[in-house]
Amino acid sequence: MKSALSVSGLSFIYPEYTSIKNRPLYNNLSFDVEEGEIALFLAPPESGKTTLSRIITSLIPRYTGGNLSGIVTVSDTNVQKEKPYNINDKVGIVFQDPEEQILTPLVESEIAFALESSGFDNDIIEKRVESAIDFMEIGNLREKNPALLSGGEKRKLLLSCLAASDPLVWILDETLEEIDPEARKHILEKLKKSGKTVFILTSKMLDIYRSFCDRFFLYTDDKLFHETGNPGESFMQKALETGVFLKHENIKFPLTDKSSKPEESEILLKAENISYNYPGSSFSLSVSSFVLRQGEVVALLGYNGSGKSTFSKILAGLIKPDSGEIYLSGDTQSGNEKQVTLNRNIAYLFQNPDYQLFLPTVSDELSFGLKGQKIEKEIIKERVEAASDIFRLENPDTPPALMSYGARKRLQAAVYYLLEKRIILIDEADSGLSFNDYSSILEKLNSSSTPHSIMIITHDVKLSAKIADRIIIMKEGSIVEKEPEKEFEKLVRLTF
Amino acid sequence: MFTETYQKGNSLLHKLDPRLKIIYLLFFSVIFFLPVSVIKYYTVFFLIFITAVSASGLGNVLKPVKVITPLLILIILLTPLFHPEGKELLKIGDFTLLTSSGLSETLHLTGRFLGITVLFFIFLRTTRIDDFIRSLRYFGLSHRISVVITITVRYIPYLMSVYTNTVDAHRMRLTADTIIPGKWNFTSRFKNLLSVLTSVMIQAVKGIPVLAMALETRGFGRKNIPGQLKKMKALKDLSLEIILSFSLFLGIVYYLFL
Repeated sequence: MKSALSVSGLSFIYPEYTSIKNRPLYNNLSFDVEEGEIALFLAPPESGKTTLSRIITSLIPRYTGGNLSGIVTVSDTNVQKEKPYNINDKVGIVFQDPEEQILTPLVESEIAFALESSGFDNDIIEKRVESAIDFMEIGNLREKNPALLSGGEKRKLLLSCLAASDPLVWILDETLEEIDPEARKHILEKLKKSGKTVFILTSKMLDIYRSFCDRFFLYTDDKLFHETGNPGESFMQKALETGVFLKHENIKFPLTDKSSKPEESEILLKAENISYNYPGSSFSLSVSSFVLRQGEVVALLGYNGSGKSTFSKILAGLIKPDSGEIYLSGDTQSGNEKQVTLNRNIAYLFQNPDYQLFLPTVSDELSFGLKGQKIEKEIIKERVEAASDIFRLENPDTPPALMSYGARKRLQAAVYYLLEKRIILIDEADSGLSFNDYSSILEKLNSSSTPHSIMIITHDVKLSAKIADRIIIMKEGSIVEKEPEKEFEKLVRLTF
Repeated sequence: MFTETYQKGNSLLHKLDPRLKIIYLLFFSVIFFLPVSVIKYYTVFFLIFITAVSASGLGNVLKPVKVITPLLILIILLTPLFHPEGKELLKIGDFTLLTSSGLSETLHLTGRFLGITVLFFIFLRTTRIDDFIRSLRYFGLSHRISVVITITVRYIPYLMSVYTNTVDAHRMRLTADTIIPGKWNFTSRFKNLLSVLTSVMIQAVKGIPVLAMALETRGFGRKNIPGQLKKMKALKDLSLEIILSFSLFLGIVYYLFL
C-alpha cells in the first residue's frame, strides 16, 4: 500500500525563552502511515504530540520558529515546503482546544468556511456541507452559534469541517477523548468505513481504539514502539508502564467492589429541584435531588451537551439557577450571599485550564489565593514551594502560557490544592492527561487534610470505575434516576 | 453570557431580504440627520419603534434604550446651555436655562440617538450575521474583509466570555478565610478590574497566532476566487418587496419635505 503520511528523521527544538528549559523533541523520529489506515500515536503529556500535529500541517516552525530537521511528507508532498492553506486538501487538523479553531458565529458557516476559501462552486459547497452534517449527525446544531455548544459538540463540529473539506489525511489532536462513548464509537465506525487516513494523537489508550485502529505507535522517552493490527501483550504492558493505558476489569454498577462510604457520613453538599434554562438556547437543566457526602469521590458521566458542566457551575455558585436550593453543610446564607459562600467552599477546576490561569508566573498563580487570606509572606513562600514540588512545577518564574498543556493542568490543580476547599469539582480534567498523571493529580487533591469530597466529570467509564465510590449519569439535562445501571451498562458496552 | 445579537423570530423584519434591510438602515440613518421639524422627526422614530417592538417585543427594544439613558440625560441637561438664542422658556434670575432653540436642539439630539440606537439594534436582532455578511459581499465587499468582519463578530463575544471566565476564576480563588474588600473600596475594586482586564488582554494576544493558524488550516490565504455557501435571491424574486420598499421611501420623503 502507498504511504499517506511519512515522517523521516524528525527532530525539533523550540527557540529559547528565558525561564523555560528547552529540550529537543523526537530525536530522529521516523514512521509511516499507509493510505486508508487509522493510526494511533500514543504518548504521555508533554512529549510533543501537539507540536508533531502542527509540524505535519506545516504550522510549526512557520509560526513558532525553532530548528527542525528531517522530512514530513503527506501524499508525496513535503509539507515543510508548502504553506498550510495550500495543502488543506491534503492534510486537515482538529486542534486539541476546539475554542482556538472555531472562526464563525454559525455552525453551517463554520463547516462551509474551508470550502469557500478553496473557491468551490455554491452547489458543491451546499452538497458537501449537507453530507458533513449527516456524517457527524449534527443536524440539530446546524443553526446554532458554536459559542453555545458544549466541548464535545464543538469537537463534533470541527470533525464535520474536516469531513466537508475531505483532506487525504486527518490529524486529530486529543479530539475523541471528550466526546461521549456513543458518539466516539459512531465516529470511529464512520471513519473506518470511509477508508480515510486518520492519525490520532492521544495520551490515553482507550479500549475502543483496539477495535478500530490499524496501526499503533507508543512514543516515550524518545523511543518509538510500533505495532500493526491488534497490539500485543508487550506493547500493552509498555503502555501500562507509561501510564497511557489503564487496566481495569469487571466493571459493575453500583461499584460493589469499592468500600462504599457509610450512609451516615456528613452531607457536605445537597441540591434540590434545580432548574436552569440557558438564555437564547433550548437547553434546560432539571435536577430534582443531588447529594455529596464527606470523604466520597463521585464520578459524573454523561453524553455531550447533557448539562454536566452547567450543573457543576451551578453547584460552585458560578451560575444562579432559575429555581431550586443548594445546601452547604453549616451554611444558612441565601441569595447573593449564598453564591459567595459556594464560591468560598467549592473548588471548580474548569475543563480548560487556560480560563483559570490569569497571572504572569507560576508563583503568582500559586500565591494569589493565599495572599487574599492575609497569610504571612514566609508561610506563603513555604506552601508555594511545597505545592510546586508535589505537582512537579519546576520553575516558579515560568509564565503559564509557555508551559505544556499537562503542566498547566498540574498548575491548575496545585492552585486548588493550596486553597484547601471542602468540595472539589473537576470538569473533564482527564483530557490531555495520561491515566497516571490524572490519578496522581486526583490523589494529591484527595490527600488534603481538610475534610472534603470530590466530584469528577469524565467520559471515561473505566477511569470512573477505578477511582469513584459512586457514579451518577446525566442525560438530556437530568440525572438518570430510573434504572441508571442500564445506562451505565450501555456506556460500558460502548467503551469496550 | 452575551454570545450573539440575533434573535430567532418570524416577524416581517425577520423575513425581509437582508440587502433591503441594509438599504433601509442607511435610509433611516440619514433621515435622523436631516433638518426637519421635531414632530416629523419623532413620527419617523415612532414608526421605527413600533416596527421594532412588533419584531422583538417591548422588553427587548427597551434594553438598548436603557443603556444609552445616561447619555440622554447628559444631552438633556447640557444642550440647552449651549443654545441661548430664540425665545426664553425657562429662567432662574438672570440666567436663561431653556430657550425655544435649545429645546428644539435637545429634542433633535435625543431623537437622533434614540432613533439610530433602536434602528441598529433591531437590524442586528432580526438579521443573522452570515446573511448580513453575504449581503455585504453582494454589494461588492471582498472575501478578505468579510472574513475580518466575521472574525470580529465571533471574537467580541468570545472576549466577553473570556472576561466572564476570568471573573469566575477570581471568584473560585476565594476561600472561607479570604477577606473580601468592602463594596465602597474603589481602590481594591479597580485593582481587581485591572487584573481581570490584563488577563483578558493576555488571552487575546496569545490567541492571535493560533487564530492565524486556524485560518490557514482552513484554506484562508489561497489565491483562488472564493466561493459562497448560499447565493442571494435574484432581484426579480424580490420585486414585490422592492416595490413596497420604494413606495415606503417615497411616502416618507413626501411626508418629510412636502
